[in-house]
Amino acid sequence: MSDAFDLRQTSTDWLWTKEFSFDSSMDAAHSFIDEIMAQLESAGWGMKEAFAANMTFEEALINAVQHGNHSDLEKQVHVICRLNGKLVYARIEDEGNGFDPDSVPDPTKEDNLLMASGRGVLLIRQFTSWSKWNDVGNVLEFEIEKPG
Amino acid sequence: MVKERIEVKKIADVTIATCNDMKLNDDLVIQEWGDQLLELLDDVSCRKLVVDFSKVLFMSSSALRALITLNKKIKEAKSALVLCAIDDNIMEAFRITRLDNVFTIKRDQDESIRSFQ
Repeated sequence: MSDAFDLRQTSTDWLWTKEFSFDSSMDAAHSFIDEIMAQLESAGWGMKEAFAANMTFEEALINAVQHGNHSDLEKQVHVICRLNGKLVYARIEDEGNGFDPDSVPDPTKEDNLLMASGRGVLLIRQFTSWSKWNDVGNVLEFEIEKPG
Repeated sequence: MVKERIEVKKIADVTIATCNDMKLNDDLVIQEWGDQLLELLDDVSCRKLVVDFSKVLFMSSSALRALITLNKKIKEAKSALVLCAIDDNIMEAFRITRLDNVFTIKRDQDESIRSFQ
């Protein structure tokens, strides 16, 4: 895994951490998301409270698997995830060429409202408390605070 | 065998399709769900369509994309589409993406049916 930038360390009091890599398939991504959702539930997050995390992991892994790695099974997605009862942190890296998230057309502009794609980045930014792509655009870090 | 992604009923001239899945995020599920909604438009009597999301607790941007396709086909068929019973969290995704301005969204089936009158 590249060390594009350091892991953010807002909290050190993690209840669960996982670092692993998986082949570029959405089936594998969904298995991982199911595992995170189960861990969030164990950490005291209700289903409604975990919605933002579910949405962010879904969109982040669609980006990594489908747009970054083009669903190429020879390429992998590398993930670090940490969570506790108040916070979830993740770092997601794909093996693609990256992209500039600021170059994605704003899907909320009148002319773009019916565009087929481009909503993932917006949803990630809105459903996280903090998010950042590296300069290449193949590594996304984010944090989500438990609501309330 | 393809799973039934929607449950369809008719009240007067309104077709109501209730989504059966709790999560609309898997590509295959979304494909089948979108296809089954589009197939409803093959019936010439389906000119007022309500899609009920009361069982749905999560949907991804891929599902939003499928709804945009459905909306386009609905307009081509000179039909009307109303979405209803959308979970608060999912509604937030509609608001963030401003799709709440694109779709007619009502609280429940009754309100949806009344909106056609």
